[in-house]
Amino acid sequence: MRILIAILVALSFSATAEQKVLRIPFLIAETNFDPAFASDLYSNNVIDEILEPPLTYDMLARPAKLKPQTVEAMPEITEGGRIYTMRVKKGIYFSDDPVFKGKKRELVAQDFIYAIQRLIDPKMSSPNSWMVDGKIEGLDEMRDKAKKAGKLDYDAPISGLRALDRHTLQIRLAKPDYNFLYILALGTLGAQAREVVEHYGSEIGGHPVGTGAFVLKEWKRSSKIVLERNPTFREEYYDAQPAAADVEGQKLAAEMKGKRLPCIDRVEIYIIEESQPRWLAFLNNELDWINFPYEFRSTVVPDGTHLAPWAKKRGFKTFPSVEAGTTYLYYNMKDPVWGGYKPEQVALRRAVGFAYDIDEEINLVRNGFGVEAVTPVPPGVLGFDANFNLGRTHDPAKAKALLDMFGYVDRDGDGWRETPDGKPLVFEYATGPSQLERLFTQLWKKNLDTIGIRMEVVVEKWPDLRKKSKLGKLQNWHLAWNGDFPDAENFYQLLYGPNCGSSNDGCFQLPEFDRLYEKALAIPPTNAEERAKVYQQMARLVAVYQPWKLNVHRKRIDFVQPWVLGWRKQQFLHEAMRYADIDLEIRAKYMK
Amino acid sequence: MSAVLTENTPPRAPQESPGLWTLAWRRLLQDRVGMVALAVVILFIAMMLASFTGLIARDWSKESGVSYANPAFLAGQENLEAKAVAAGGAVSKAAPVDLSDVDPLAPRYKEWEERAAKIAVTETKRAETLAFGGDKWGRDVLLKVIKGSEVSIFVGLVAAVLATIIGTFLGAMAGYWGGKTNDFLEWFYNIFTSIPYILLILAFAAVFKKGLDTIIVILALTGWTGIYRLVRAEYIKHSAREYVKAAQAIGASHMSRMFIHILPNASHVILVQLSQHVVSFIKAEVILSFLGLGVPVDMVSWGTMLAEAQNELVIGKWWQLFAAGASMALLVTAFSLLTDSLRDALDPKLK
Amino acid sequence: MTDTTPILQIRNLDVRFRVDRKHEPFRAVKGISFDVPTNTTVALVGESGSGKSVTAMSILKLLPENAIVSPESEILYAGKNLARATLADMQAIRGKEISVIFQEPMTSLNPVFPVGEQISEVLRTHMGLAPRSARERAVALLNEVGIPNPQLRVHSFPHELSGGQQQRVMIAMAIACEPKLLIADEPTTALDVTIQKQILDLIASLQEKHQMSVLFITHDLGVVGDIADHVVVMQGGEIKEKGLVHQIFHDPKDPYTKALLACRPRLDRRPVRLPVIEDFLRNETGPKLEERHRGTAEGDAVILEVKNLTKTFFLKEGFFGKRAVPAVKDVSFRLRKGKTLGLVGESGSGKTTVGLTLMRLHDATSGEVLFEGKNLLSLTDREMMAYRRRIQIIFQNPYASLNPRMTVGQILVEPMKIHGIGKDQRERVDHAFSLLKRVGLSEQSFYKYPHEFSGGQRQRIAIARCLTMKPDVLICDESVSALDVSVQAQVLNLLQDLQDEFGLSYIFISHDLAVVKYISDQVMVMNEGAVIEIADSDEIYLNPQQDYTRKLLSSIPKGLEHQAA
Repeated sequence: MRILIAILVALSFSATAEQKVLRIPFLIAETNFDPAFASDLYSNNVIDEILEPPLTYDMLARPAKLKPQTVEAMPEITEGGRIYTMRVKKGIYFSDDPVFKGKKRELVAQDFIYAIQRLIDPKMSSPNSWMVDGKIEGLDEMRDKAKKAGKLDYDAPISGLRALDRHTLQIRLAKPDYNFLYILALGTLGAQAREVVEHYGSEIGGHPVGTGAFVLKEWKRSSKIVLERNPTFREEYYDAQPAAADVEGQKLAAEMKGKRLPCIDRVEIYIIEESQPRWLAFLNNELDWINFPYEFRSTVVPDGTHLAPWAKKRGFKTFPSVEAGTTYLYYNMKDPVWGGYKPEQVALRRAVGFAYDIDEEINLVRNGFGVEAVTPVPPGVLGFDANFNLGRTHDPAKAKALLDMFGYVDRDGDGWRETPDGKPLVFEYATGPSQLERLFTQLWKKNLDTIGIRMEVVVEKWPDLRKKSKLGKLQNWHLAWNGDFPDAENFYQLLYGPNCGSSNDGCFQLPEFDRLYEKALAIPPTNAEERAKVYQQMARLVAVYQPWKLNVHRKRIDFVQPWVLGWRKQQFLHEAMRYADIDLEIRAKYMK
Repeated sequence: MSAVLTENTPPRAPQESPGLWTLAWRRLLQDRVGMVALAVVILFIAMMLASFTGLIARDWSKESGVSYANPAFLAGQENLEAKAVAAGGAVSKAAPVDLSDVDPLAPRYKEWEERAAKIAVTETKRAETLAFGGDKWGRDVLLKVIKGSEVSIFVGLVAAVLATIIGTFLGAMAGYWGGKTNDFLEWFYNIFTSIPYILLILAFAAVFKKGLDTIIVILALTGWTGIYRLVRAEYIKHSAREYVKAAQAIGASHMSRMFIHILPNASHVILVQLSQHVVSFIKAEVILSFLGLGVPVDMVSWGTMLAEAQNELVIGKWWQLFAAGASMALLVTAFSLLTDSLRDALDPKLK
Repeated sequence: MTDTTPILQIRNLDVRFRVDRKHEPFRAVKGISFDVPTNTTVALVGESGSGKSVTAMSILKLLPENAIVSPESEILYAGKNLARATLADMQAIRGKEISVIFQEPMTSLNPVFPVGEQISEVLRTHMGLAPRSARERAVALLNEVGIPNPQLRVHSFPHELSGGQQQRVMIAMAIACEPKLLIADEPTTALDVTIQKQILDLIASLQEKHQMSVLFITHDLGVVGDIADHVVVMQGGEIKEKGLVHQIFHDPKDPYTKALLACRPRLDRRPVRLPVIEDFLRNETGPKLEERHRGTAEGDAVILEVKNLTKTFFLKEGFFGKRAVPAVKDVSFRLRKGKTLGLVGESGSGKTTVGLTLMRLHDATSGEVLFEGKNLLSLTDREMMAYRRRIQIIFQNPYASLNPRMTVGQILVEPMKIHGIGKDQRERVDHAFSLLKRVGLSEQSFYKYPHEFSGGQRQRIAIARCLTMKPDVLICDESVSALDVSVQAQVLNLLQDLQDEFGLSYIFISHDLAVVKYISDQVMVMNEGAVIEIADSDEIYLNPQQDYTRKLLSSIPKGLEHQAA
């Protein structure tokens, strides 16, 4: 009887208390929620809330700072960055699932090892294997063996991945790499219970079971994803350490101080690909935050920073930032005309660089939502140097002079320049059919017309171009890279010689550059300054050899509804819904 | 029957009495709506030809105004975009870093400087307003509309003529010969029409290289079916007519019967179809360009203008959309009305 | 005949049609007045353009939108002026009180519904019958109009019925609601002569049985004699003469009526030339008529001999099946030089197919066509070209047989070019001019288009086109059937003159026995593709040997001859 009353009371209570529901948009549809399978940003946004890797980022610290998540302290790094040892917190349990048959399932060190093993399982052919490939001792051998056997033996011991005891995890790297810390903060390495994964088999992408603050409640593919508070989530309190000078961060920290996580009961994620309905939904209070679509700039933030009066009245909080990413056009360094390291080849790329009007890209194509990139490293990432200045990067006269000097002149009088040996000189620009891409194409075309270089356009779908790019069949291509972690290594690996054929699409192979890359990896993060210096050396090489025509670091403004507390964009934490709260009173006021 | 055996006929009058075409023309002259429509269509075609020959709109791609320059009639309106551009360009920077230690070009820095200094870069003053406003790059929208008509109308006309030729020829074959020829062509037609139109266009677009000629070919190859059916029906109807039998009786050949005797009698159907297809192909070009399958990047068409204007509208720059949309609406309406009038004027039943 | 007030009185009916802004409206009916007495048949007779159909249609307000009925016009029916009636009033009257039968039954019936359904629909809407009783009544009606097996036939679709049966269904629908007035607009014109007779009999018997009045519209005075009590003769929108049928036939007052009666070929007379209307308009009494002798003699030269000609059409059936439909079965005859062979038979008898096949406009299945000893059917296309010009054909419909997009000059010159007649263009044009003159058209015609000519003139152009090729044999396929009586006479006279002048031989195909008798030396009767009888024309009319021939002859409307005799 008493139990019954208790249930009734509980029911009536839950019926009266208003739930805190957070509604956010995704721009692109998710794939699924298997960390070994999903490599796209949006799926990972969800995975991050459900599965927990050992480390995470401080929500408010700038620059980004790692902190322990499921381990008791930051890993103990020994042997000059080769051995990482960490103790998994005790008393962390996976969320309830039928597979556990009603028993509590505690998080153990082996669960992290299992997650890493899955990445190299040939059956998964995971796109995320790069995170561990060649990094962990014995792992590559295990992978090769599994490939031969057609099956990965999860029970076989690996020297580089060991659970010293139930809660102690030790990772031995193949070579020193202090940046492995950042890998340990990627949701992809979030702990998974082997019995769950094996039980759901190919369905695991729809049944993520983790230790995180939320559980997956509802999933309508490409339309709606619903997360709900994990009722068995450990007792954890908000703890962010913004810099003292960070007024905004201090305010946000104050809003959340001492709150038990997560504050949100339910998260509803809507996939809205078109910017107009997405923005209108936000204006209708149907979304709680949004990355401002810059098409609407002139009506909302006319000067690029300050809200228009009507938007101000709505009480929107805005958080402008520069994304930790870079857009660039790589040249295929194996191309006989456009690639290469000889002065005339360098001169050709440099001339094109001078011809390109980056201001028009930023102001006309991107509506001011970008800052010129002069190095591959964006602000907020170790290795970025605000003082690195190349002067005027758009200078058609310099471009023409350079071309003339190295013999790229018009010999046959058709108005277009030829190569020094008289062969036709054509810039083959590969692009897609979208309107934005058309604008870029127009910009390139008119800039190249100015210096007399003929441009031909190849229009194909993105996946087709990507395939060609990976095979080295494109002369050049526009790409963008969003940082996975706040260290320049993550960007320079795109230019690291040995990565030709994987992430280094342009196949830039400069021994000097590679040496510097390897050198930087061996410098412990405690010695950040020295590391940054090496990165700046690398930036200089990129500037003179110009394997990439660097474009911009994109700017963004996150619009947040006035009732949302504690939240601003932390790029490496993605959406970080677990650190947000909703003030229902303020919300009710605005909803009237 | 007053003409029976009239004696003293006057000497042979050299002037022919009005033919059907003359009569059709006269009927058209009486149709005020038709004449206005015709005038509009002629005006557009004249504009297109003038632009094609470079008489007008030769400088359409010149960036003569500021970004989104206001139309002359809205001179006072604030242009935030142009302001932003002006502000963005003015950022001055500290002394550049010295790269000479690693730069393979370093030995020739001096020569480079000297040469660059000799190349004069003339910055043209950009106008604050343009007749009908400017686009993102500051190009004159009015000139773009004129230049765009070239592609749009040219594609529409040529594709429609090609589609009509294909449709008429196949329709004539099927309708005149019947039997196996007809069965085969009907089978072909059915397969062709069973594929959704857009899919067909996309399939052709995937096979051919992208470009203007491709659009024309695609539209012609996908657009002949309707004409084929109508012409076939006309030929079935006419080949059973007595005048065709009579032509056979006097010994006229098949080709002569198909194309000298029957074709002029089906011409009203064909002509009306032709003009209807011009209209639909102008629209189709717009859609194709809108999908990015159409016009090359250094050309402009109404379709690409509409596609560009889509994003401009949200920031209140309506003139490009209006200019392209209104021109197209005007031409398409005029063409449709002209088609109506043509049908009225040409239909032999109305004589 | 009870003679109280007439059921329908037409007073000062005046109808005009707007043509376009520039022209005065065209006045089609010019203030006519006449009565339709109760329980009587009134025939409205006139040639095309006389305004007879416009008159009939204005009674039911079925005129096209550009028609203007002048305010003075009165159409009094049961005390109501229908000229002023509202559309709702008319809906109540149409079909119920006054119903109408049109000329083309096939186009008047809805092809997608069974005929029974169409009849019961009329009953349900106008009489408010329940579906079941409407169905029963429909069967009774079909029985009444003489459709065999009415129980089954109610389920038939229009195309499953013959032309005569379709017209019977139309009549059944028209009388379904027991109308007081039946308007029959040329109901038999599209039908064969034997069917025509049956339909006329049916209308007459129904009129008597149901005590209704009939307004019978026709261009054929011959039909009128059999059926009408009163006759109204119209020309050019005016009434020329009205009166009892007896009086009209025996004692026509108006020269136009006289001419109409005289210019139709008669079975009992064969003048050298048929009188034409102009003759009567010039001279009240008409021309003196001289008899012409027709016939063939054994010794006459044979220009064309057809032996065992057979033509079978194959219809597709199902996917692969074919069904053989014999159209011409083993036909043999001889055409003598300078003579006319008349070919008579009902529609579907194969007479037209004979003509087209021996010209090789169809491929024959078997048989021979000997022309100057050569079998035309075995010649190659190339060899045939030389003979093609020598056998020519004039089709029935002068509106369809001339290409509307070519000038008369082009039409005439084209065959000369094909066959290399004339040295050069100039000579050909000269020849064309002379032929135009010969067929009675002005030189101006050379530059005109076919649509600028009347039906008779077009048929002259068609004849001129044949003459350009200097043919020996001319096949006239119903060449005068579509023409008005008066025009028919002129064209027949022209054909006769040309035969006399050029010694042409004719194969004259027609369903009109009177015309065939007038023009032919020899007559061949065909039925279902086979030859029934072939003999000199006088012989066959006076002394038919076969039952079918006798039946055919008895179907000719006799009214005129009886009355006039």
